Amino acid sequence: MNPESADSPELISAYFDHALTDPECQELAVRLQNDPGAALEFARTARLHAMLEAAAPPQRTVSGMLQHRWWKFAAAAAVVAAAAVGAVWYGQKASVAPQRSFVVEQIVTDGLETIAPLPPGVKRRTVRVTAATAPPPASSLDALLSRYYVDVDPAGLTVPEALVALKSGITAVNYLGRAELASLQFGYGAAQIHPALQIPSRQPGDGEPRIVAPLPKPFTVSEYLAICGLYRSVWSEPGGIVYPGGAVSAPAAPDPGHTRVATRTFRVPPDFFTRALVPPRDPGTGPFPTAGEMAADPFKAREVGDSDRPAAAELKTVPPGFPPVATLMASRSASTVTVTADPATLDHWERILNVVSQRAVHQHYIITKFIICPPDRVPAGVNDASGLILTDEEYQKMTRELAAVAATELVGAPSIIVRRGQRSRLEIIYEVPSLETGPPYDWLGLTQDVMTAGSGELIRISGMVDLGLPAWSGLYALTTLVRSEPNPARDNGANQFMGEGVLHHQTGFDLWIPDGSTAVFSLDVATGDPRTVLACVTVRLIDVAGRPLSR
Amino acid sequence: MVRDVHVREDVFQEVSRTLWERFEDYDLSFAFGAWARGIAARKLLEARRRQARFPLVFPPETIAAVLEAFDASDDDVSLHETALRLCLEELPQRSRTILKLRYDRRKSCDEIAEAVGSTLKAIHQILCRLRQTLHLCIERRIDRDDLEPTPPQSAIPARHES
Repeated sequence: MNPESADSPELISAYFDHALTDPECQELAVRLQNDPGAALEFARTARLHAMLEAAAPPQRTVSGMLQHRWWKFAAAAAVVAAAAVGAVWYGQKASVAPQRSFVVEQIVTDGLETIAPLPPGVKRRTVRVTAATAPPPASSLDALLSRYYVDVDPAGLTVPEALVALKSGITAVNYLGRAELASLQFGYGAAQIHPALQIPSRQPGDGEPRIVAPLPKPFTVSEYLAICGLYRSVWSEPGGIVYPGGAVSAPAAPDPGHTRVATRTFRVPPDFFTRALVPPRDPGTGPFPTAGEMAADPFKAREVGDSDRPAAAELKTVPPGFPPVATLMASRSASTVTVTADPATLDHWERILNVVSQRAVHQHYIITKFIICPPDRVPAGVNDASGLILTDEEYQKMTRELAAVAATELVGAPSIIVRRGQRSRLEIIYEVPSLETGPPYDWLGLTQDVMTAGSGELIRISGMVDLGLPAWSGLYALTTLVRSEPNPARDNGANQFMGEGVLHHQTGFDLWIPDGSTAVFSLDVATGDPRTVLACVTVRLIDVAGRPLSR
Repeated sequence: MVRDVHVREDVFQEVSRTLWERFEDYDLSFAFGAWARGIAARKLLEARRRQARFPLVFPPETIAAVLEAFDASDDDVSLHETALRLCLEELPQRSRTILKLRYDRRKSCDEIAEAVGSTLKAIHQILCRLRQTLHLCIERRIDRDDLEPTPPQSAIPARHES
């Protein structure tokens, strides 16, 4: 391009395409300085360029700069010394590689009193990771932020206040000391505020709207940002990820005298009416369940109204509420919500429904196995107070080595899926009459109560194992009872032990396990059998479809 | 205004941080854009004073002239964004493809030329014309108040409007 003969618009356009040479840049600079029209054209093109860039989908890659920072942090973290939890197996030379586990000292230890109290005399095993090693690298920051829950609520805050609260919330749950989370910063585009939002809680003199959250807490970081994004676009600093908050669209405010309404029908997920609007637990009680919640009915669910009309009425109370001219109809059978309102309300409701519909459902997939082994084969570090945390590789190696030992039996129990914050109970029992004639009945077999909570990549499982064993046959009966298949042609496992009476052997546990790891602890079983019963509890964080969440 | 992409990101980060830290000082009666641009310009000039080799494209006088032009045309960004969205929908498919490659996929003009089977010069001209077309369309729509919103893309698929 001949800089002197090129039109100013051509030069300006080429500038934004990084196509100008040095002489062309100099020519453009002169024109901008001397020609107000050219400067105006430049400003106009710059705005257009910025709007086109803002309208583009975000790039969701972790930059090399971010990874570089992570490795620096990992090197520092590796220097931290802490008590190792059993790096030597069986009191001999280690046949398993040292554990790869994480620093958890930051966890506030006030959780113990929130666990449901155990029956008198029942001991609890508390097993936590304590060794210090760098956490595994995350595949994407996006995935991390959709896993970590924060116990902060943006409701009533301005977006800047909410982002400050979010930073402290992330710090509180960054148990693994991830540099990706520690270095996150948030900004926002103040010029893109939604002018049509009339927030009832707006304080006089406030320049900022206050957030009215359409969902109850707790939130994942992603959900929290999506709620902030209803009011402003938010993004992390360069080098992190760009959140798709986008500019909040702002159609012209409706003329009160001639309100133009339109109707939109939104399809919502099938469980929208029972899940999305139901508080998972009482707010303000922290990320882990309280004793009261542990005792409460874990399966209590709240339908949003018994029919479509009450469902619609309840939906209309979702913040920020509904203007008088708007109507809402809900059809639970068709999983649709039909809204008739002015365009501004429709747009805002569409964004709310997007946030609510995409709310993450995290579940914990728990696999429990029992290993009955001779006492001299019990891994070092497993005792009547604590246990071990193993990676998948270490756990597989341990079970292979134990399985090769005589007099060792492996007993698998069915797996459980527990929704985060709820309680679940596994029972493999055979009811037997008590020694007194008639009811009440007792049972032989196994029950396992679990309740899980988790934020990010660390999952807490608490509960109790109850082994109901025949008074005389003891551990011999365990494999028979748990493995026994129904066969009406012969006596089932329970019938063999009729008349022996039942003894219950209960062990409580409180496990803090990294996602995908296994906690190993011993059960309190007093049967006269010298062997030890180890419980191996593996937990994975999965999505609603049962897939493990990616890191 | 800054040649080097890494330096540009650092400057952007620095400006964002300053805006954040000084937000309490912001006077709501003034346009935010003007305030933010003023801070950004001062940061650039400070950087240039500290470091003679700071990769600034334009001299300070040009930056001042551009700032003045921005302030003179501080329009309602939200209206422009709505109008832009509608104007993009009016463009022919090939034009939208080129814009998508340029902005969504962040391709260079070389890569776009190769992708669509054209020359670099032609792509520059096309992008220049597209920007002018979009300017005119946006201004026309705002002047006529023709901003009937098209329902934005949604994660919720089924939607009917009457």
